[in-house]
Amino acid sequence: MNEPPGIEARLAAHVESILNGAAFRRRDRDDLAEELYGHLWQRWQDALASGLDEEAAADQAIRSFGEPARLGRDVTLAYHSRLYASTIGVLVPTVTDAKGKPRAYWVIYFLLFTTFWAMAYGQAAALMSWTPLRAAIGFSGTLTAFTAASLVFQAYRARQRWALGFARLELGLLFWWLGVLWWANPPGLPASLVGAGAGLGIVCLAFSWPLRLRPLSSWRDLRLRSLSAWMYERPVPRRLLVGIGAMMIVGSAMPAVALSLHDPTQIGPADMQVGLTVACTRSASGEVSGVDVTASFLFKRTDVWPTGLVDALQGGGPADEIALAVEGARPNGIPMITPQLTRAATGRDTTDGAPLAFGSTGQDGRSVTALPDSASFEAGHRYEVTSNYSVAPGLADITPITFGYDHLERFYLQATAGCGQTAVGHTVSQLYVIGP
Amino acid sequence: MSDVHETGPQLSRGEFGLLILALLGRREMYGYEIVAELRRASEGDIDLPEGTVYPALRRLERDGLIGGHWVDVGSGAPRRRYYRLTSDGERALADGRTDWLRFKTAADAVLGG
Repeated sequence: MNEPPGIEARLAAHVESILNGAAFRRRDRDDLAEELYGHLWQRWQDALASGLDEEAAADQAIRSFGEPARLGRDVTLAYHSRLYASTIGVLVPTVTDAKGKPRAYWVIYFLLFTTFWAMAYGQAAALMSWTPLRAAIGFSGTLTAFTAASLVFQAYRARQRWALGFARLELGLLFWWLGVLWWANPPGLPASLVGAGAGLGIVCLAFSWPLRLRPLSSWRDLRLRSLSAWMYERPVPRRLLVGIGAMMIVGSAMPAVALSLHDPTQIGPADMQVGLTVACTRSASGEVSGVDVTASFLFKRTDVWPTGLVDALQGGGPADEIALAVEGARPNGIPMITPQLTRAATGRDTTDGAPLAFGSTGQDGRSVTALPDSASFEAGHRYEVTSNYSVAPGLADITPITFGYDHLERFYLQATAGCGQTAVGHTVSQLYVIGP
Repeated sequence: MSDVHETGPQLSRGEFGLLILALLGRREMYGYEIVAELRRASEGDIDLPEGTVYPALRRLERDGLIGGHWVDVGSGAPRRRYYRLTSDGERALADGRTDWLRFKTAADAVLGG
């Protein structure tokens, strides 16, 4: 080639100005760039042959090629649908020139980036530990919000003016969501971490609030290059703005809604039948000398992955708990004579006779017993727990005995019966026999 | 549908594509050659911004109506990407030509009658 490097570089730069910001595969871009450059080069050669000097020939070649922004738009439309070009195509093309951006830009940029990772981490944790329906709803919602937030993130990178409002909305939603976590206080999430996150949310809002009215166009070097200039100036459809906002709000709310929903894949109180039978033996004088307690529960069906994918991947999970409160008389609320456990509680599957394993059993009258993983219970099987107590002489009767069943801390059933009575468990908000 | 140039007759995107197919129906051509041939064949009436031809070529290629291949022309000149009609392109050209002639006849009857 006989052209000076300067002209060649100028033609290449013009090609770059057309393609910069256009979104398509690298290989397609390289092919097109070579083809466009070849066209400009040959046009330049022909102009030289017609007698123009090198610069004038280059000017003519570039001028006859067409307006770069329009060509860039047409190229994008040639590779993508109009819908893509008017939505994602508006947002994705970016430049990463750091000049002229105020510090606040980078602060918000960093916080948005952090928000993404927090969302991804939180959703992964939820997906692993939530019950199937809740995980599905929560995941869908977060994915929706994540998609919308990604668009905003890209738009903010590209200094799209409208993105700032959504950036604030996103930070507000993060703050709100952390508040929900704080309120729900899910197990396994340290309160200090949630508190730190809430603090971060406040800082985010504090940083972004003063910028709410500041046009990004006032920042130096705002003008995007070539094709992006067309995209920057293009107004974003109002429906798209509303859609993004709705996706962010509704998507963020869905995990909280999921938490409050009853998951039909999990057993509920109606799927269990808790019963309690108390039989007393008495001395010749009529005083209570011994108590035989039989508690039972029937699983009509069992949970599906009660602790999410963890169940499927590792098995195990939190156990159910049962507890018996066997107390003596309570003058002024204080048990005076405490029945003594004479034989450790035993359990069995009454359907097939298999023994039921227990954790530790307390001896202080209120005994709390951990059951094995409830997922190991079989649907349709009835399980029975028996224990025997001796009672010191002098007690005419016993305080009614309470049997409590805690199913994964999702619901509680309780039955109370005195000597010679049988009771059926009912739902309670908090167990008398477990906890304070 | 947007027009594809700024001076001369207004061409729709489909009409522009049909013209390109017609040129490629004669022989293989590369982008610069297509622009020059359009200008020559229309005696200068169709004078497009030259870059406009490449999005159109990409669309036709994406739709499977034309195929492209690179040719090294040597002498230090950049490679050229030549295009030729595919069998689908030949059918599209035949159909487009028929439609155009029908439209032209109808338009002549209205405008010239």
